Amino acid sequence: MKRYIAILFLAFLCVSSCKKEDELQVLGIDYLNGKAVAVRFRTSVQHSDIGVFLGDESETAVLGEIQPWENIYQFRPVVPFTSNITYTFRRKDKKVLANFAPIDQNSGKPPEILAIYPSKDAVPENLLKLHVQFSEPMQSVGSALDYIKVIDNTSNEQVSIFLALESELWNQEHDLLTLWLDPGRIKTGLIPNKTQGLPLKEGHQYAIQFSKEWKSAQGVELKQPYFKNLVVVQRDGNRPKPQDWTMETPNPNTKDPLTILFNETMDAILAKETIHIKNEIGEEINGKFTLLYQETAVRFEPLENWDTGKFKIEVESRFEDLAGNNLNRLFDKKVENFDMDREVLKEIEFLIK
Amino acid sequence: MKKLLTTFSLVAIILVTIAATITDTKSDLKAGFVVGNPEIESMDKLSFGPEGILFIGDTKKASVYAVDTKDVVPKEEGGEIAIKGFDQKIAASLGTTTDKIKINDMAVNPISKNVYFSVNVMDGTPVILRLKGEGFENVPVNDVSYSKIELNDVIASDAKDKWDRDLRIWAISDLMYHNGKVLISGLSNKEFGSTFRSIPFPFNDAQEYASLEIWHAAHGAYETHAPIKTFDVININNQDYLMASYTCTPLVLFPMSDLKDGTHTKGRTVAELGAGNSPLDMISYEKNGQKYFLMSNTNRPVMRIKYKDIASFDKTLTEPVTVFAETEGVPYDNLPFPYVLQMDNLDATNVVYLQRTSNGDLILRSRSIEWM
Repeated sequence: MKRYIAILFLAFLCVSSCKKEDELQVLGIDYLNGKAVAVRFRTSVQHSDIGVFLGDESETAVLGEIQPWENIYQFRPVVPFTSNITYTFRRKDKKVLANFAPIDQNSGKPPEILAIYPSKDAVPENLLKLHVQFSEPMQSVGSALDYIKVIDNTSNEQVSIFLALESELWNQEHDLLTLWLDPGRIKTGLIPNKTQGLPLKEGHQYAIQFSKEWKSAQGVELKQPYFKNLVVVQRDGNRPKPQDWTMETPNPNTKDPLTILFNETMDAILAKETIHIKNEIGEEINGKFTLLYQETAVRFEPLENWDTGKFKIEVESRFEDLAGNNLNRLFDKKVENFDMDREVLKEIEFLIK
Repeated sequence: MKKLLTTFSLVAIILVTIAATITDTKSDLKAGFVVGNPEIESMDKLSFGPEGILFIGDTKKASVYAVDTKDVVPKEEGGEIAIKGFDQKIAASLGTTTDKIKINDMAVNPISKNVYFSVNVMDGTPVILRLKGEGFENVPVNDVSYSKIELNDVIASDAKDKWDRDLRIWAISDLMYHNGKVLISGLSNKEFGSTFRSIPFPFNDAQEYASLEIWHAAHGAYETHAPIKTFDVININNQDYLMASYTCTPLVLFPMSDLKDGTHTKGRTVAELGAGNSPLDMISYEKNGQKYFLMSNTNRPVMRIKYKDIASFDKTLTEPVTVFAETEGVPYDNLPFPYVLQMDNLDATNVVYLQRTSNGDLILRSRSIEWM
């Protein structure tokens, strides 16, 4: 620890500009959770005449506040300083007083793509969504599509298949991204469908490349470029049918898993969140869902031991297959008399004895 | 001199008293506001309501915040704005480079005519900046007077999932205050549907949720599964209509009185503004006694539509548009402003917009409606 402090102290000395120490001396940079949140300095100049600027910039000062802190001052920028960029203290007359450059405090561990759903390569030509799970929160700037390239290996062309959205569909942690294949091209009859055809063509093979330059929220690039292959098979024109699903039921007085086999790959996110296990009197059983066998099944592990008796699996109607067909309707279908999807549930009963 | 001083002191005391009264008395709209840190996680959409209240749409927390900016000193004119290298200026103000920022939205306070921006940095830290001359000032939102409403997901209960399952994202695509209500359109990451929320303000527990259906002339079918990109409210024959613009650009009217909780409403498509395009922003203004709407787009210049053309268009487009990118219905003019990313009314006679020029520069500019 002592050694660590000594190294940090040396680093601070290095970033301080010794020549200007009569006017302003940088004492150190304060880090919080790996972010450079403040710079401490001592100065003989009136502090209200001092500004912090990015590199050679001299017109637009960095927004923040200078606060007295014991006998010295502290400048706290509105957003943390960026590591490995040089900042400049300037006097009102633009004279340079000192420089400093925050160092990267992060472990530098690069982010990874943990999963891309659907995880199998064979997908129907009317595939609707792709979900990308990262190991940590990713950058909140730029567009995801800037880092994704899709090559049609069959025709040897770069193609554009995803829908560009102003507000991208990230989860709250910003580590799960949902990409839509352009629905306007999937729905038959729509002009984009007529003129450009389906985003994916049956019989074609595609390579989706995720650029290494995609950065984490900490500014660290992906560990490596990632690839996802798609082998496009025939259209999926059927709704999921829970009545055809099979089950592996657990034994009573155990925490054995209940496995539900769908017989086809389903939307990974919805498969985990639209299924509820309830007991005979309608109480929901607490537990954890895990995707299995390339999303053709889920395993449910209860927190408590199973009782004996009747149970039921409730599936919300918004449960979807890879083509966006849910329990109520096909994705590519006119809706004449639409009723809101909220109340319809499919129930499958099972017995533990 | 002494008399003058006494008079001055008296005036000063009166002014201070008035000021104190104004500050101390909360308006009805702000009666339920609390002071503290609302812990906003993302600021995707901004829109001003009355009394300097800024509405902030937070997609990450699926919430809308009403923040008292206290920016209530009235100004008639917004002044001329012409700033080049706008993204570089914002980046420099935040001590970083343009590749590490993202300008999410822009809104003008109709009272003070100040222009506000919501900006994200690399790690997702959201910031609100207010334009001041050619520079910016930070608008802190960690210690403010505010109220908040969560956008309950009434379709499903997953918003309160207890078992570590992924929660549904509801990305806010547009947000505006109108006549005592906050109107919000959005898109979910799970189901590709069009949902619209109407929330009474001041916030209480009530929020109305309607799903919308449009006749998509390009599709030749009724269409529910399309997201609204931007919208405005238009009053025709004393009835308010939601005028919504969708990806692939149909323009659709929904009577506001029909948008009731849990209902499914069919809209009337009044224009097809061309496929291969996505609308970005919609505003309205009045010139020489005529009302106009402006709409900025991803792949088209700013479109201008006359109010009277919308009001007098009593048909609904039901025939499929057969030629790609052909337009139908209410006529519109293309204004010579491509790549307008953000747009708002600056004052009664000016519009402010953020535009990517042909050489890649990002500029913020005001323009008289005389020339729009």
